Amino acid sequence: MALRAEGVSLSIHHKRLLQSTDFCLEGGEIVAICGPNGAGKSSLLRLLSADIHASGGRVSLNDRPLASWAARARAQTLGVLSQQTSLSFAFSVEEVVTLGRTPHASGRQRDQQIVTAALRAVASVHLRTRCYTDLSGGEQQRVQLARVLAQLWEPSPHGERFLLLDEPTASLDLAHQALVLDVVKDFAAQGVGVCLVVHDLNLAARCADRLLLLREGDIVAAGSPVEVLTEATLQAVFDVKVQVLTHPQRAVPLVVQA
Amino acid sequence: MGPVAISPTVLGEAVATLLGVNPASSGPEFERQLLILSALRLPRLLLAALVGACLALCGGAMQGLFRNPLADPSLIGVSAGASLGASLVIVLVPALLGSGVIDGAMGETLSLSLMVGGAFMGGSLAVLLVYRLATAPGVGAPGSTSIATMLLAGIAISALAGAGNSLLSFYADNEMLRRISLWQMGRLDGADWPRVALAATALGLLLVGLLGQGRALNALLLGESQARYLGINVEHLKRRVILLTALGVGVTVAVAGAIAFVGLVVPHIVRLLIGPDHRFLLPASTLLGSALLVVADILSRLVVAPAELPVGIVTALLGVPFFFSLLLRQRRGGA
Repeated sequence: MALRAEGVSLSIHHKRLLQSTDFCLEGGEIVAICGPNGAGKSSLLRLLSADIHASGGRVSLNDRPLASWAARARAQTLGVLSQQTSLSFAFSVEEVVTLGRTPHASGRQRDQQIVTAALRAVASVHLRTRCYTDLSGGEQQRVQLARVLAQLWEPSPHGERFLLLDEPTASLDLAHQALVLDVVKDFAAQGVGVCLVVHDLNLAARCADRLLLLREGDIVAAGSPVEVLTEATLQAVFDVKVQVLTHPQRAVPLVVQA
Repeated sequence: MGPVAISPTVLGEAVATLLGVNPASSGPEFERQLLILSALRLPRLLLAALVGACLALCGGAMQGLFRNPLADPSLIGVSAGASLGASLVIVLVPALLGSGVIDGAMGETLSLSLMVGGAFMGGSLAVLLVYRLATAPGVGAPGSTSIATMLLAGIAISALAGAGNSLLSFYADNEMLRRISLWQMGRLDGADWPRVALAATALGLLLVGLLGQGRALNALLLGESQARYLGINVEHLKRRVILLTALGVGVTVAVAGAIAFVGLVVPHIVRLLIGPDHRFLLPASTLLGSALLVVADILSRLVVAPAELPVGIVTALLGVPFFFSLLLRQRRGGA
């Protein structure tokens, strides 16, 4: 049981975005995808979320081709948080998070409990009755995360759950970045497989079991943070001089620009 | 509430007579008033209520589909497309069948249903075209519709339909001209029972097809991809809303012409009152829309009595300032 891509390629307008890429996300593990802008990170995530179809190769969710899943069953099993979500209607925060319960028929009362718990997980209970469109960018991002958490809050009847997050920490302050990492770890501890696209290599090193480095549609390096985050690899991928230290408190790599 | 004053007492007695429980009142005066009520005012009242309900429901659903509170059948070209379809039928059908071949009640029914068909086709093509243009990749933020493109597409389609209408007017004879101009203004004075039945059928279909989609439309507001992640069959939902709103607008255009702004104003008022949740927005808009058009129709008959204004003019006068204020607010919001 896993979310798996085998030899997937993707070309749009004759431009190759990904070429024969393999990817596997098991339940309970955290995988971070890093790489320069335009490396194909979001494309890979969109392939894994059945948003676009691969030009070649196969994507499967819990051993069944992803495209053959019924929309609702898939939504109970796979949650996706996109980079941007536009919502121009004046929903309250609570209503937005409740949208995450759309694929479930768990009843109003249970939904409300889950919405409260999801809001608490991202430290946003106080926003509950606020109008979504009045929130700051970071607050909106937390609310959207809570919505996706509410979607995957309970075990799926269709196998292991997977959570795909595209830059979930992009507009968050330091405290809330750490909070998101804790939430991700909590979810993984419950058996949810989490894949996140992040730009901050140190953030990735802190939470990921495995790290994937993409460049121009190719996987350049994959493995544990210690294996992937080396000075030579990073210099080749990002074209900047870096120094890799060891985090003074956690035994993880710490990347600093030289 | 019209050129011929009918007192509330007579009204009460007439209702009782129509229900078959009042054999007491009679006399030529009463007969005349009864006829006015049953053949003119009652169908007109019902038609106003049904058309208002259809338009407001379509407006609400369309704003959900476009994820934009400015979408309105008359602004994005759907009404124009539908009226071009109807005009085409008015001009072409007698030409094809040879004038005079169809007349009487049968001919009336046939031409009405053909006009509905034409209006429906014109309306669906217009929605489809505008939707494609406004949500094309590369326009605006991903997953959102571009309001500028949407309104521009509406202008283009309205211009095209206007040109088509002018061309048809050029070739049309006097009778056709009168009927075509009826569509462009939007008026309820053609109300009769077949039209009421048609509008009622359309509203029934819309209610059955749209009221259950509240949750799905809510999810769609997050964007097409997000709705898909939430397990919504987006293509299915889009097709359903496009076809049903085209049907609703097409039928209202066929029976009452292009009545503007009801579909814009009503869902907005409802949103201000109870919020944007489509599960409540759609039924509440339906009710308020029917009430609003009934009131607008009564106004249209009283303002310049004993003559009357086309109700489309009244709704436009009420709706345009409202639209401007919304546009200003959206601009300030940066949308």
